[in-house]
Parts: sequence; C-alpha cells; structure tokens
Amino acid sequence: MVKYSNHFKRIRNRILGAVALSILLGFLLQNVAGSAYYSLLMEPSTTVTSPPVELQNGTAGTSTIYTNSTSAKVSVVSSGDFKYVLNMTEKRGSTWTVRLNAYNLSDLNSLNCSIYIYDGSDSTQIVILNGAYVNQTGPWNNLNASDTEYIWMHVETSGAETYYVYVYLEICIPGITTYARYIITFEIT
Amino acid sequence: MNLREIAFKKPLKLLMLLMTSVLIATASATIYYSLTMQPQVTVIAPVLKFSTAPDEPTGSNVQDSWCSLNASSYPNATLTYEKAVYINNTDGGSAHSFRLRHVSITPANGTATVGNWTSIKFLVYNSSGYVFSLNYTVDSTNWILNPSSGQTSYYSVPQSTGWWIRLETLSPATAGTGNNCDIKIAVDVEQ
Repeated sequence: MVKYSNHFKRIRNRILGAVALSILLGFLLQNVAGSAYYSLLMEPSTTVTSPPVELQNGTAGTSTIYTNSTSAKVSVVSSGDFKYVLNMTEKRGSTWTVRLNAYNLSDLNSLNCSIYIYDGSDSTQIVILNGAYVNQTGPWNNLNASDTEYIWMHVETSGAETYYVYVYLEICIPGITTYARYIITFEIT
Repeated sequence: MNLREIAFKKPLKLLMLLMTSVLIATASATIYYSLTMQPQVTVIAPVLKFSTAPDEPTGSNVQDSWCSLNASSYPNATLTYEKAVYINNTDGGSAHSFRLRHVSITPANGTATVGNWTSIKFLVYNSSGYVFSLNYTVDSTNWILNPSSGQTSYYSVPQSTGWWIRLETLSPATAGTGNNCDIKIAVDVEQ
C-alpha cells in the first residue's frame, strides 16, 4: 500500500513539475514575442471652422438654405431654364476649385436635366438623359476670392412624378486633394 | 553518557541548528557564477515612420516618430484630407506591421462640447485602396470608437512601401466655430 502511495506521489510531482515548467516557458516566449515593438505618436486636432463658400438663394425656383449655408434644397416646377437656382460666394479670400458631383437619383425614367455652373461662361456639370447619367461629375472651375458664381439648370419632363437629384458641391484647394462636400438636393415636380 | 540526558541539551541543539544554517547559507551564497551582459544601445531612425503628404493640413508638424495635424471641420459638410500623412516602411528588406491605438481625446465623454462634431475618421489607404480605419463618431455627448476596443488589428506594410492616412471630419449644422478637439493616437509598430 505504501509502495503504491509513493508511486502516485512521484507521478503527481512530475506532473506538477511539467506544468510549472510549461507556464514558465510560456511566459518567457510571450515576453520575447511581445517586447520587440515601438510606438509612433500622432496628435491630430480638429477645429470647427466657418465654411469657405456660402450658398445663397438664387432668383429662379425655390431654394432653401440650411444652417451655416453648407447645404441646400432647390425646387423647380415643370420644364424650362431656371437661371439661377443657387448662388455660391467665396468667404475666405482664397481661390478654390468647385464642381458638382451627382451621387444619387430617384425615379428618373422620363427626366432630362442638365445642371451648370456659370462664372461668365457656362460649365456643363451634370447631364441626365432619359433617366441615365450622360455626365455624372463636372470639371473643376476656379472660384476666386470673394467671387460669386451661379448654378442653373435646364429641365424637361414628360411625367407627372417628382424627381430628386442628389448632388455634392465639391470645394477643393487648387493643386491638392483636400476637399469639402456640401449636399444639394434638386427637386423637380 | 547519552547526549539527550545532559542538562544543556536544548542550547546545544539550538547551537547546532544555527551552525548548520550558517553553513548552508554560506555554501549557497558562495556557489555562483556570473554572466556578462554588454548591451549596446544605438540611436537609429524608426524603419516605419511618418512623412509629409500632399494634403497635410496647414500648420501641421510631421517628424519621423511624431506628428501633429491641424485639421478643420465644417458645419454640415464633410471635409476630406485625402493624403493627410504618409506612414512609410523605409526597410528595404522586410515588411513591418502596425496598428492604430486610441490614447486620449479632449473634450472628454460627457462634455457638452463633444456635440460640435459628428465624426472624425482616420482611414488607412495603400495603392490598392482602403485597408483599415480608426473612427470617432458622436452619440449626443459621447465619443464612440470603432473598433470599440480603441485599437485596430496589425497590418503589414511591404518593404519600401508608403501607406497614407485619409482624414475625414464632419460637424453638425449647429456646431460652433472655434471649438477644438485634440486626439492622441499611437501607431504601434512591430519590429
């Protein structure tokens, strides 16, 4: 009986020894693997700043300018030319480039629509023909310090539906790819 | 004569115990040897490091292992710095992995001024496109981190390759101009 008891004690001690060794080895390996690293530090700050370009009501259609003049909704009825549905004025005393970029459409099967920026001459920005994009993003136009440019649209519809064209006015610092996006919704009834 | 029978057997036992202890202690202390460690610490530039990028915000400061970015945020308009800062792997022989880890943000959660932001996003890109991001969005007066742990997984930058951080900011229409948010993010690099 004593012999068996001693035998079990030996086995138990060996197991305990093996477990202890495994734990120690595990810690050792973990420390080796985790210790070879370093950290860089990035400290970004973000300041709420007045927007560089201000949207303003035009003289055609009905426009709603939202808080801080950085988004708008334009409503026009029926077909024809609407000069001008929105104005945009530079407020920082710097030169920017601007363009329109359509990002969503709704129920456009019978819609023909073109949207332009006018700065003394017309820049065709967005063209929709029978509900499909012909031109989804316009070319960049300079908007000089304190200048005002205008957005106008030509619309032809054959249905009695209400159409929506969702557009970003993109404002970019010339020569680089930092840009702001204002949301403009065009409603055509 | 039996030793157990003498009168001073207890003090004698104690003395023997003491002598034995001293002997063991002396023996233990004297049997040793020394290894010699000669560490050499050389100051070198990190292999993965920050570098200026074309859309670095005006007034920023970019050093190898530290950078500050002075970004703006417009009310109700998304402002994107497409290439705000580069993270370059300058090691020509090996890839190195890094992650983004949130350290701190001011204003802190529960402060009313947190409501001057909708989101601040740090998106990591390489030449193939989007890779991963660490984003801060606002719920009332609290910052919500994504990933919620505040740290991303590690991603491996191939040798001699530059990745970049795209910074996107957005404030609500009611944001007050002049409010400022300071963030600290660690870029942990595996050697």
